[in-house]
Amino acid sequence: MSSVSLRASVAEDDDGQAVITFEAVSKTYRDGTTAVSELDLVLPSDQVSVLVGPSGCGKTTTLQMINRMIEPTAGSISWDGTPLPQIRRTTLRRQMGYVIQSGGLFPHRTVLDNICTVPTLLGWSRARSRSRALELLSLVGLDRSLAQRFPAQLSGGQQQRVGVARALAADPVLLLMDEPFSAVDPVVRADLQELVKGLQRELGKTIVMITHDIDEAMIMGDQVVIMRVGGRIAQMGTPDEILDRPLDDFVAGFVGRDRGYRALTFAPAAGLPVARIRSVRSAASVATGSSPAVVVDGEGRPLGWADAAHGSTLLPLGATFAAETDTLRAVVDAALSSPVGLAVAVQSSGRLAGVVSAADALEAVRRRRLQVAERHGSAVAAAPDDGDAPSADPATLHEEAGPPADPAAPRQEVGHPPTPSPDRRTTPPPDGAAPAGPADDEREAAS
Amino acid sequence: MDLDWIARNLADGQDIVGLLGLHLVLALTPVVAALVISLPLGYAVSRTRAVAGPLLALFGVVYSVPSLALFVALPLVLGTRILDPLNIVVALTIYTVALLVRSVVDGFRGVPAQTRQAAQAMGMGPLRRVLTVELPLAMPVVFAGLRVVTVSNIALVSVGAVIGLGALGELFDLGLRQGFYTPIVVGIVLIVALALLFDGLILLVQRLCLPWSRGAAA
Ligand SMILES: Nc1ncnc2c1ncn2[C@@H]1O[C@H](COP(=O)(O)OP(=O)(O)O)[C@@H](O)[C@H]1O
Ligand SMILES: [Mg+2]
Repeated sequence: MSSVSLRASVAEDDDGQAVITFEAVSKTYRDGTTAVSELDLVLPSDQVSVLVGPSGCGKTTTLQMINRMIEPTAGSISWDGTPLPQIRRTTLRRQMGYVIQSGGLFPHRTVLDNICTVPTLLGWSRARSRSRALELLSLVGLDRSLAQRFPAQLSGGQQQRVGVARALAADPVLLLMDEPFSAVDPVVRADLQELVKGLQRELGKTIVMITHDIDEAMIMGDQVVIMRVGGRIAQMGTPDEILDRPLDDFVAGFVGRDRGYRALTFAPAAGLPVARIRSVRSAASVATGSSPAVVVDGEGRPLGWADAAHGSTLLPLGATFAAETDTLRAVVDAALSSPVGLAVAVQSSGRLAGVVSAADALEAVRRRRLQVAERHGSAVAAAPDDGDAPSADPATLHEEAGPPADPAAPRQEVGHPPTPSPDRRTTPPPDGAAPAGPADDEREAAS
Repeated sequence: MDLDWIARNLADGQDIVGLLGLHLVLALTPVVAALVISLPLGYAVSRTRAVAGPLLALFGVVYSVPSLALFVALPLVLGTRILDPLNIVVALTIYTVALLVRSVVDGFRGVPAQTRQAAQAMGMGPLRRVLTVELPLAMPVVFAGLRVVTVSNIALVSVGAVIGLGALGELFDLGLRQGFYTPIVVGIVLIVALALLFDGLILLVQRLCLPWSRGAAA
């Protein structure tokens, strides 16, 4: 993948200034609906800002005021200090990539021509646009053989990737995304989230993204802006700030009542000390006075607990967690649901791996929360590789998936793990992700 | 059937072939003219909100004016001679516009709002948006309308025979007056063949021009 040229062209854009600034911006539609009122907002450069909130709270209105598809009725918006009305609409928009639900692709144009839209508007030569479009196809993990297809001949996920490629075509500084992934199924969505996060790290784009899905906001956002109806900000901050300290009941309710607990969704379980535990084939074989044991079947898969205190009855197993791949949240779940206070870990084969005590699990939670509190504001970009990592069997990569939980180990910057971990499909990506490779496409291939 | 009559008429290249050519000119000129008029008109109507309904109803009324009445009235309005082919062309153009505007309006209205928005967000100017995004996306519906008006025009031209200018329709007139059915059969066969031929031709053009719309809007 040729990210070198892409990176070079944004190299000078590292001044870290606010890109888009809203000052007391309001928008009242002709019918009297006030979609946005008195909005003050700073969308910093080189970061992903996510606007999240219930439907109709003014997210799209806010986003479309940035590329002047909607003009505010009061207040002002500026881009790097220049008031937006001073920039021609078409000029402005050609510098801002735009992605919407289902890609919003032009059905009558081929994939290639769709991607070439803005380069063509900018007057690039046909050859240059074409080669740029092909380059982008690879970058978003699509095979070049799709170049001559029409959008209707692609799967939803592929269309969305083309939408991202089209938005990136003229190398815009800013990317606006309006619920870009809400039309695809969760598995494809996770891939796309990974793709965009990877591209963002690699290309250093400023991204403003809308979603109504708080989980997506937490996964994608460096900065999360929670909006309430009327286009007012309920709270803004990093995902962890919001999870840890929701300002009011609205935010708490929106983020989920199990706040704090939800934060654990993003911390990996791998690295927790998994202790050995005695396993028995029958609950009756536990001698009086001995400690609890796990009852397993002939294949070594846990069935339940046996505890001398409860005689020879088989106690329910409770939830289990996958030792290498699950999150801290799953461990706490397992510990809390265990009749003996021990979370049962299983291997990917389903065999018993060991146990984690509730005390250890809670200690990991405490450390995690401490880490979260310390981390704010520090983000050193460890340049990830090109995303060309061979797409090995995900199972073999489990081992290197998460940062170590050992507090003595050097702390890692969350959001920039040293190892891309492709196995993020079914669980939300913990803290960052590598760009997805072309290998993903078999599953998405059109009918 | 009198095959000799057909042979004679074909040989001197006058009657049948001449009428066929005239028929095509009278039927297709209005289609082309109406398309040129309907595209901007239909686009404009599609952009209006409250007025669009009444406007379309008006076009419906125009279409229901009996063709004969129009053929007879037009010379008075246009100041043309009663036998001027222009009468037929103008009358059919009016009908064709009345039908085609509806298709154009439907076509433009059917353009997905998201696509329209995407075009705007990419930084296309208004004219480019209409010409390179909305118009092509409206075309499958317009083509469907085009097929209907073309076939109906090919049939309608023969009504002009009543005022002495019906192209192939004059064969009906001839046959009826002389009690001789060959010209009638020839007229019918040719008119049906023409209709089928042009219907197929337009479909072919659509396939070639709009390769992305296979199977869409019919
Ligand atoms: N063109 C419009 N005219 C009138 N009201 C509108 C228009 N667009 C949006 N609204 C209203 O403004 C509010 C905010 O809309 P929007 O910004 O689309 O919200 P969101 O993207 O958060 O769902 C809603 O109440 C919506 O009905
Ligand atoms: Mg919206």
